[in-house]
Amino acid sequence: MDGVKRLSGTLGRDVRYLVGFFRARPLSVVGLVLVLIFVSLMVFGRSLAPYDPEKASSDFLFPPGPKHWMGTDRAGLDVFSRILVAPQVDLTIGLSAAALAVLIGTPLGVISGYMHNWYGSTIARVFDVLQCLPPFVVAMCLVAFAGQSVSNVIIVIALLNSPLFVRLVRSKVHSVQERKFVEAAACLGNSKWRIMFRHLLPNSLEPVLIQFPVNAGWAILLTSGLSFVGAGVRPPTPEWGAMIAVGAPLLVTGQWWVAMFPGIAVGLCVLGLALSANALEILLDPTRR
Amino acid sequence: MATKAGGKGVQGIMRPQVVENEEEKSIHGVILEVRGVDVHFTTRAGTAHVLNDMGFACERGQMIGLVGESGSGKTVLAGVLVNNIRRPGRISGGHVIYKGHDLLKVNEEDLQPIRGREIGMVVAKSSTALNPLVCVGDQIANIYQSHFEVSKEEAKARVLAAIAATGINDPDARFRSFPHELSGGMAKRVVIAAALVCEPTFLIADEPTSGLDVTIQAQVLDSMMDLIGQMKTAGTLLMTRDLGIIAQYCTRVIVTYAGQVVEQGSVEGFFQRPLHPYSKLLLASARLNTAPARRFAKMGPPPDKFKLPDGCLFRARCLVADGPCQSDRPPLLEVEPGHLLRCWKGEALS
Amino acid sequence: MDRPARAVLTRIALVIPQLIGLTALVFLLVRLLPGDPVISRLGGVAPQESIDNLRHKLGLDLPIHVQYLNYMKGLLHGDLGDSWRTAQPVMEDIKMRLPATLELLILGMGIAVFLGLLVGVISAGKPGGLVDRLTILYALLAGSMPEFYIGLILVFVFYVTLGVAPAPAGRLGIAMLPPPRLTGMYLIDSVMAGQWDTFRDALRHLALPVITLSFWQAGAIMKMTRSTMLQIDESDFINYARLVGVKPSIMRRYTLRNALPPIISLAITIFAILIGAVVLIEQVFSWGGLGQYSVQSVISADYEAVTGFLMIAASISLLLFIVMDVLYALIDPRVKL
Repeated sequence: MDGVKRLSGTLGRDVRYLVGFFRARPLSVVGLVLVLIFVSLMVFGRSLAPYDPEKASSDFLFPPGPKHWMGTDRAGLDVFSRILVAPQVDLTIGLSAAALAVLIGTPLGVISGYMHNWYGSTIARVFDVLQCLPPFVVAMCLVAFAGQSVSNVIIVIALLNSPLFVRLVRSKVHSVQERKFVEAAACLGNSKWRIMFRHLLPNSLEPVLIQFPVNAGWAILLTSGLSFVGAGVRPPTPEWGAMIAVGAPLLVTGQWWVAMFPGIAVGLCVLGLALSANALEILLDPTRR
Repeated sequence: MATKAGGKGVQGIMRPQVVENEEEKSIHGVILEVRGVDVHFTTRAGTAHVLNDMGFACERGQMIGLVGESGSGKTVLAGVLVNNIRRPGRISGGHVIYKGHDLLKVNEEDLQPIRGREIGMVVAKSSTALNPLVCVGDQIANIYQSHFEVSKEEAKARVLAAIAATGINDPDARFRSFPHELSGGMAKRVVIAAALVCEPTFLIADEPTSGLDVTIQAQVLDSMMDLIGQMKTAGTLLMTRDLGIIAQYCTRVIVTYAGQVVEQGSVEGFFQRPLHPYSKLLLASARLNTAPARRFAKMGPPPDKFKLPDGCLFRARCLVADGPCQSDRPPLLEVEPGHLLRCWKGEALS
Repeated sequence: MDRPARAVLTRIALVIPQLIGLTALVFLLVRLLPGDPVISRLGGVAPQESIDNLRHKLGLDLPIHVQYLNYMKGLLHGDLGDSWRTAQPVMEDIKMRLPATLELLILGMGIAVFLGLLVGVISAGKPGGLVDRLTILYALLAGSMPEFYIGLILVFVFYVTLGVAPAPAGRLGIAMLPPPRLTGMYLIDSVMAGQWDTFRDALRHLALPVITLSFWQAGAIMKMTRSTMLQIDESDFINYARLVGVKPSIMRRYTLRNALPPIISLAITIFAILIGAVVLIEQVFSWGGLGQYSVQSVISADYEAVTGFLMIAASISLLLFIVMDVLYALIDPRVKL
């Protein structure tokens, strides 16, 4: 009893704050719930699917009904099962690509933000030029020519997204380095590298954390787009964009379920990530408490 | 307890009814009068009571120095005087009477000609008060042209004159400068120029020297006081934390605490014989590192605006608080001619 | 030299080296891609002689910097090589298809900006109100969905179900002939030629893809406009202007002027995003513009066409960003030149 009382010193206040935070912002709760759902599907989806998502059956083009909740496609594949298993590909790609983009972009951003010599500004100029390339077409090229595998898609998307993090971190570093503790560290004789990675980096991570879920969402949209034109992951791997591509011609003949349901799934997943990013933004901002 | 019943005493806050008599005002020379103003801010964390029964009057020719700690609501008061309190703040009661009109009842459209022209304002945060995308000269000219129908050239001439009068060396260059190119002192002077270019009848100066180097402070204040003297400004309200400035430039003093006036009087009277316990502490701790100063520092913060205590708002830090101080809030009374005090222990102390 | 002139000149001075860097980057990118264009065209069983011949014909046996210089020489004469797939010069291919894509982009962008600004300003006028809440919800939902999916939904609702929209099969109906070519954009050309039937048909076909493009990103503009306006409304300098009695008309001018930089920068960013999105929209609606061309080129490993497309698209983006930089520098005096 007494230990709990002592613990609820600041812990209690923090928990109470979080409860109040979520009560006041239902959308944040929605976002986190959605992300949890899809992450669970990423891990457990395959075991939850009622049918084998890659095995064709004779139930062609069934509309949504008791046997197949979301209907089947032309090869008799159960749409619902494929939607449940797709996060394994889509969300894995999304999270990995975003994480890799962070890993590439953040250190480069710190260097380019702090080093005011030709080194730093060259990195900035190069990435400025890189951002002029239309990302979708470049992704298409790279994946089509390098081979359509999940790892290639992840690498390509990560490379295309890293300039954003370089810019984000760079501008944050610009403002952080004006603060006194950086000046103090320099006076104490810390080497440039130590200042950059021991002091600047940890303090510049806030915008990166907020942007990470958003970026994962973009990666998922990009992946589905690539699969839609046939330049993404190969069938029959269940992937939302590929499912929409299969369902697109069927729309015209009235079999809407094959394309519509995967689209809703993508939308919900990306929405969940976006809402979580919003929640993170408010949580991490001390002035908005 | 000495009270001035009825409505004759000009600084007497104990008035039985609202007097809107223009004639009477001009006889006594009151330009601006504030009565019973309450302001609260509604936030997620609760309702903060920033101003509580705030009231005072300014007569023709007076330079009033208003003393208050940081966060005591000085800037809010400045906003109240021109009826510019917005979400999440609200003026919940009171009157601000200027030339016979209660400004708190005037609508926004009719307030515009008064703001800046009749009642001028030198704001505290001068660097953020200026639009970063417009050169400062144009900004002052815009203010001038919002109140006077003149040509661009004439407005520019007036602005240049105002800028020069504040002691800035190259008015032409400063006219074309942008706010981010100005130093703190420069920005302050620009704001002063903007306040005085319309030659207002009443001037509010909110912390005109905070954030400036001590050497600049004196220069800026002197220029401002010169200008006030030259122009037709009839009354000034100088809000500051610095008692030295009040001693040097002002004719009357108002001491505020927790959004209320606790003492009000002439500068000589106040500095010779402060009556309120808070005033005494302020004056005693003006000398740093003395016993009173250290005692004051150990006393803790002003009352929580979200939960104002019963009784006197100062009792937590008061050395002589007792019985009645805990339960009833003392009214502001005239204990000597021209000297008001809000304290139960007033008689005993005076 | 005064600021506007200096702003423009410094940015323009940067264009040349950046363009060179860009073209080199694109060139390298495509040339260094894995996969051999010669073998993928001739097939794996072709005799070595044919392979060597083709390689020599395409100039692929030269060192890479020579290849680059030759390409740049051609570029300056407007020659981007010949497309393997269409057997036409790439420049011709692009010229034929660019107007179709531009028509989509300009209309889509225009509507997105118009709607975004309008709704954004209304939302900002009543924060927390119904319009405001709906706007935020809409922005979140629309931006989370793939643009091609939105296109498909619109096709399903308006063509398949309601039958009010034409089939998503190109820019005009089957029986309709395109108007005499002036700009290549059917709306303009049909008006200029007085062909009102064609105009109406083109408009009907433009409706769904343009709505898709604009509704997808209008939400982002709405959100940005709303938050910018709110920020300005609560800013110290607007409060100060009100405190000193600045006229309402001047206050409105201040608000607009200060809102421009972030909105312009967002608008241009969105234009760049739309350039990427139009590729997928053209697929859904069989538009026959540059977007579809690029997809077909990639899938058929048409390296010249892909290079040409990337050069054009990247250069347009670069120009857009430079325009944005110049505008920003002109409006905001704090930006260093």
